[in-house]
Amino acid sequence: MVTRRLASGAVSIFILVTLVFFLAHLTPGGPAYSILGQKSTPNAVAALNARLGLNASLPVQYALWWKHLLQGQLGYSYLLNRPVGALLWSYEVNTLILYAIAISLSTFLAILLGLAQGVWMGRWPAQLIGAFQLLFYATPPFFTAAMLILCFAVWLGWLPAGGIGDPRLAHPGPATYAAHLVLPVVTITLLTVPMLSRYFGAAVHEELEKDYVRTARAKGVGESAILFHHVLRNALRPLVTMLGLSFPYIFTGGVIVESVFDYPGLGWLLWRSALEQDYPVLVAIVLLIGLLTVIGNLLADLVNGLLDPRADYE
Amino acid sequence: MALLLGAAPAAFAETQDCGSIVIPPGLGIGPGADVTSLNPLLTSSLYNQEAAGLIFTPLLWINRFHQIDYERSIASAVTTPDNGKTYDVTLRPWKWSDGTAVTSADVLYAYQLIKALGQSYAAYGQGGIPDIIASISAPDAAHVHVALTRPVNPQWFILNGLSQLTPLPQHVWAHYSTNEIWQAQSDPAFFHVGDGPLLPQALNIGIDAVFVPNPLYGGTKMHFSRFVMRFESAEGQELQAVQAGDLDMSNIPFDLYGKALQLPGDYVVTLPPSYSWHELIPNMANKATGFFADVRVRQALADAIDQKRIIALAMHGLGIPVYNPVPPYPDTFLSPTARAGQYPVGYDVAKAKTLLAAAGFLPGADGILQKDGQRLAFTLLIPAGQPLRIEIAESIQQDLQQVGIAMKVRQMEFNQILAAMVGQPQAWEAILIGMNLGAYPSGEELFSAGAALNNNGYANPKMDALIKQSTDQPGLGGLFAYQDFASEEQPVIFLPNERYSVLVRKGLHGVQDFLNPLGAWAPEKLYCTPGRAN
Amino acid sequence: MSEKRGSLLAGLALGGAIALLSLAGPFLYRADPYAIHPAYALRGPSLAFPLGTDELGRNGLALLLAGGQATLIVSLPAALLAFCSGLGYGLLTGLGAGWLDKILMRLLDVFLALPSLVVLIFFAALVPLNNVSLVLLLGFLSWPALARLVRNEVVAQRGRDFILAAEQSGAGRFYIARVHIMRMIAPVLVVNATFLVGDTIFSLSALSFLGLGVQPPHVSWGSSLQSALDIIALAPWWLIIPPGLMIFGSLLAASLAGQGLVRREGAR
Repeated sequence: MVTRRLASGAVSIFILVTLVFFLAHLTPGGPAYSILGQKSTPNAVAALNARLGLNASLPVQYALWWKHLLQGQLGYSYLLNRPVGALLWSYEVNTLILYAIAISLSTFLAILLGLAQGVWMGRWPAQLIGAFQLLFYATPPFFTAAMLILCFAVWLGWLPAGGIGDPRLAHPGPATYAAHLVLPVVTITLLTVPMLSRYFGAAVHEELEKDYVRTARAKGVGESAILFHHVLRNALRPLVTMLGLSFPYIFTGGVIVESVFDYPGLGWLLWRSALEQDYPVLVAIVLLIGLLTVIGNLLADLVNGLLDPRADYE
Repeated sequence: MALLLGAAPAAFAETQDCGSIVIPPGLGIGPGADVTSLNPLLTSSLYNQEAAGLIFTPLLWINRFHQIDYERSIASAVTTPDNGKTYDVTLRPWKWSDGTAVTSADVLYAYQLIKALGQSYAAYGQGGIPDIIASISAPDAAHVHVALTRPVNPQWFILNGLSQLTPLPQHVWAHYSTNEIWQAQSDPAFFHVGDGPLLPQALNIGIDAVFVPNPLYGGTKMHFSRFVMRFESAEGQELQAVQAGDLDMSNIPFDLYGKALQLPGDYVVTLPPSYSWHELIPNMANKATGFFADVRVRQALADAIDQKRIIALAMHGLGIPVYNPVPPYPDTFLSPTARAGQYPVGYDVAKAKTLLAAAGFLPGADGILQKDGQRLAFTLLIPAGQPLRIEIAESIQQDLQQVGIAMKVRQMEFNQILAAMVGQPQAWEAILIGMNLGAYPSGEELFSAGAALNNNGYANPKMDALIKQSTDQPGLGGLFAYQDFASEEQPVIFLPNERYSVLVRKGLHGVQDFLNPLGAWAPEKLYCTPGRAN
Repeated sequence: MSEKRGSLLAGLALGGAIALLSLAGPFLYRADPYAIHPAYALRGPSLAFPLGTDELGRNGLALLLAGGQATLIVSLPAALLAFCSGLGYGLLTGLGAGWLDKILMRLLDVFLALPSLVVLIFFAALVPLNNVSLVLLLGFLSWPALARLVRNEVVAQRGRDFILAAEQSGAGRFYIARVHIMRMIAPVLVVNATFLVGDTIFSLSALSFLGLGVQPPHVSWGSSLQSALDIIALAPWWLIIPPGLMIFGSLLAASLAGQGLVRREGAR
């Protein structure tokens, strides 16, 4: 079962990477112009393309890319003059920190809110939570970010408007990083909690209506025991599926949040490398996204399998 | 040992060590971008040049009046005994940061590397380099002899060409192949030997570039222990960062100039304009916009555009009008008529209309001029995401509407604009872009027929002759004639140049001397007084 | 019950109000959004300028209405396009042969994994960014999710007895699709169509925010937000809150209406 999933995932990744590779190379322009800037002349562009290996035919370049990949080399960024692997890693660390914190916080809050919503469905706490979910689900992240910056960075001046770390210190400590992380984390949390908690809340409510719960109550099992031993485990399944879908985001981040907060993460790098046509970086990140999507789905299914051994994951 | 060059700054009342200085790249010149390369030969980006300029002292230091400051150059003298064909350069005693002396071998090495790079060399063709050099030799360790293929205007060659031969550490770099040098261009470890004021300590991609003072630097000592170029992607963010104390200086976006003046403690320094201009490039090679080939249409465009309004609106008054390819400040190279403020073009709507009528354009049913069934309409491409350019474009749009020209605006990513501009003449109609120049503003790369940066199909034999005169004949006569003719011809429509202002944190001084409109920074000019929160 | 109907009504009312404001507004409030008044630059709300002015002195309210018109003129047709494409693809996949299903779904997975913004950048370079191309672009990006949903529903329904019976009595594929399947999946379709409208408005705003949507001098809610963010150090709340609220309102309307519909169908 797992191998079949992996195999089909591999095929998807292959198609994905091929599509992006060809789309990127066929778009007019090219990294030579990004590098040369205003000094772009036909001769300089041709010379640079030759140096970068971009004058070979497209299928040849494509084959070469796979060859290097299988040798463990991800290539060299044209624009940033670094090996792609090292580059991805430095941006990746920033994104991981930001999104791991944000998604963990979101999950924790989603479970709390969802439980409350499911247990008190129909009464005012649940309706309040429902309203909150609706409101924040509808708020676009760039608006949230703008309002947060307006309030906390401009009007109150408590937090920085963007960037990362304090450049003044030779060895910036975690405290300065933390200050720069607050607003982006809040933005992402406000973005993901509504959806996660809604799914979870609906699942909790559905579980509570089921026969086995009534049976357990009739047998005299305590309400909290029911909740935490049975309902939670079953209701967590859709949540885990959702988290599996968001797994890639923990690693690749989001373009909008990272660009508004000037946060040097992988999403931001993806955006810039697409705009400036830095093909090695772009294709490597897309490969990463594909891999993570497959892994995320697989992990979600595995965890769900653990939560309910009766279920089979198809 | 190290010589103390340049007088120490006069009596500073109780100066203190600045500690770390943090600034964004592009300070005083434009919106910041990342530093991605430290190699002065390989990069054409202004931001990278700023960083490279900290590590390597130039052969010729050109000040803001386009004169050579021999106190700060590695060359102590340059002579041309035959007024233009051969040049003798004398080097002052100078040291690399590992104690080795800087010699003529380092200058020769730089030239050889330039030649080896071929078209990959960032400034290929500027000042004739490398092809104009017939031979270069080192009679001894402190002298370089350059012989050209033909006699040229010495001022042109010295300012634009010879100045490119920045001495490079031959004793370190010669061990690497050209390819290896290419690959190592963002690796600070490769640049551990330099002769400039600072040496790179770290280049954190996407975050910052960190420099420390070069202990063996032969010039004035630095007043700080750490120098950080911090990459911010938006000018608005930079201002916030200065207020928050994250940055010591930042550009002030024009819209925020008024607010910046009101900030307590921090103060504003308005810089002279950089040696550049904006231009609207009309594509004469595109069949759809063949009307641009008529000089009367181009002159009408120039006459229809109210440059003063652009300066007032988009630059909040901080700019200067430009009507020919020699920026008015400094006035070193201005022709007599330009100096008197007399140009063949200028804001005159009536004259624009007359010109267009004389060119045979009549108003169509929708009010837009047309001739032989072709409407006087075109699309202007501007680089995406730059508020200044958007505002300039919108101002022009309204101005052109007044005379019956319909201009649409479209944003596009910069590198794609470049690709269209350079390689696809039928794919674009007009482009709004900035152009910056070398120290001697001749036009051989810009407006000669078939020139490297001539992308719109402009060709005029008289222009070619005048340009040749400016680069080959000594004296400024050719340059004056060329700029007057270019003002009349408007091969591109010249547009105003902005003056950047910089917000500086309280307690930091020396900013006007530190920044140089031609791009080279002088970090030793920065100093601090108490009252600067660190 | 009232709560469910209330949600649907609220959503429709809000959506209707925004649509009316945006589509009819520019004709009723006649101020020119592109006229520059430098003397009044960056003023807060006043009688002459109810929503203040931007950095070039343009009327904030006029910009908002024009932005709404530009946004809706592109988003609504794009949603329709996405809806039709998604429906068609889903039906084809769901009703087709097994091997067709596998291949098409595999392709769909790939589309869903593609970072949509990245694809957008590629196409934004290839085509001029006018209303038509934006409609096509957005429609192209938004249909996969609906397609998958439709396909799943169709697959779920086609195994049902009466469908098998219809097939055995010789009914053609198209007939089954048109008459039976559509009736069964109609509730799901309606709900998701509503969400689709919200999604396309959001996508267009995000695109414009990043500079690849509506082009200057035309404005949209997203590009207004971007311009305001550039000068956020000046705290121009009157330039940030109105466009943000409009996008928010549109998404809210779509969610409310969708939610109301879900409850209504669920109650049946």
